[in-house]
Amino acid sequence: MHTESKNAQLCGEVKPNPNVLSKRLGAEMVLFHLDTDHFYELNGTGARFWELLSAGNCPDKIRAEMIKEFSVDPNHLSTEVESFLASLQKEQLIFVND
Amino acid sequence: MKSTIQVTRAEIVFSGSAGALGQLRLQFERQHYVRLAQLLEPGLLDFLQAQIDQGKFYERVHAGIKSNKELCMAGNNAFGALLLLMNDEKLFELIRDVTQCERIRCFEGRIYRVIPGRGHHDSWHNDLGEDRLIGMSINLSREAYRGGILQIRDQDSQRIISEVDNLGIGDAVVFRLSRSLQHRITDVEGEVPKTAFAGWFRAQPDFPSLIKEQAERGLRARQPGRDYYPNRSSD
Repeated sequence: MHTESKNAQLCGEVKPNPNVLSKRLGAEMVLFHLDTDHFYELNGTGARFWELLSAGNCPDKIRAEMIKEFSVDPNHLSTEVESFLASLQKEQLIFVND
Repeated sequence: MKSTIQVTRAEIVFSGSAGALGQLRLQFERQHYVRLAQLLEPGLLDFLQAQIDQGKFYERVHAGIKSNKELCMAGNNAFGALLLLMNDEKLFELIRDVTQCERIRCFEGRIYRVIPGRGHHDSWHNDLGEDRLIGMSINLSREAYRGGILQIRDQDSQRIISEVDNLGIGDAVVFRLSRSLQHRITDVEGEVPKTAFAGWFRAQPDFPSLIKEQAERGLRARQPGRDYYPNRSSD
């Protein structure tokens, strides 16, 4: 499938921007971008995604882990992961080496 | 000397024993303050000082304090970074353990500067209100300044019961807020200004809510992915 092959290409090529600080607060997470002076708030699933990404996992592996942890349709999750990555990339919170 | 509590870019590091924490608790109980040497990890401190060097300061008078004046830094990435790093649940728990205060939900602060000979000064006050529990000031100055001592007095007798300087760069002083106590910072003397990040651990609101409040005052907040990921539980 298109989404899977695209994300497979991203495997190992997506990294958090080192100029982004993060802080876990309960279920949520707050990010602060040192270059743009912006704060961001991630809800529970976004926070878990960021944690797994920061631990060096690629999107495919993160998706597999999140399917285990959350009650979510895998196809729906794939779409959301793609949207989320695009959103993070737009805000320069991650580097995508494509 | 490295503190038993240290703030790094990634996390709060506590390297002491339960006994060390007990010592801090005892000091706080007796003196109404504790000093946390090198609370800021040196690399982080260097980064923050470099950003503060680029900061813009404006004159500010705090309402509710008799006579006072200071320079306050407009929000920049040093302020944002400090705000984020101090809003840490592990730090909240350590401060709560040392001070025996009630549950902390956020830290709110400002970066200020006091320049000798410019009429910058402070008066006795207690900082209470807005659910403030405990005060903290972190020295961000480039050089050692003279004066700028935190004094704590008994409100009724007006007897000074504690005094502490905070000359170690990157050090913090954590101090008690109480209806029976007042505090002030003495004038800074000589040639060298004092720069500090100071504020309060508060019982309310939580940090995300604080950021939203700050955003209304000009600090930017965005939420990518907020609607993409509704919380789902596997149970």
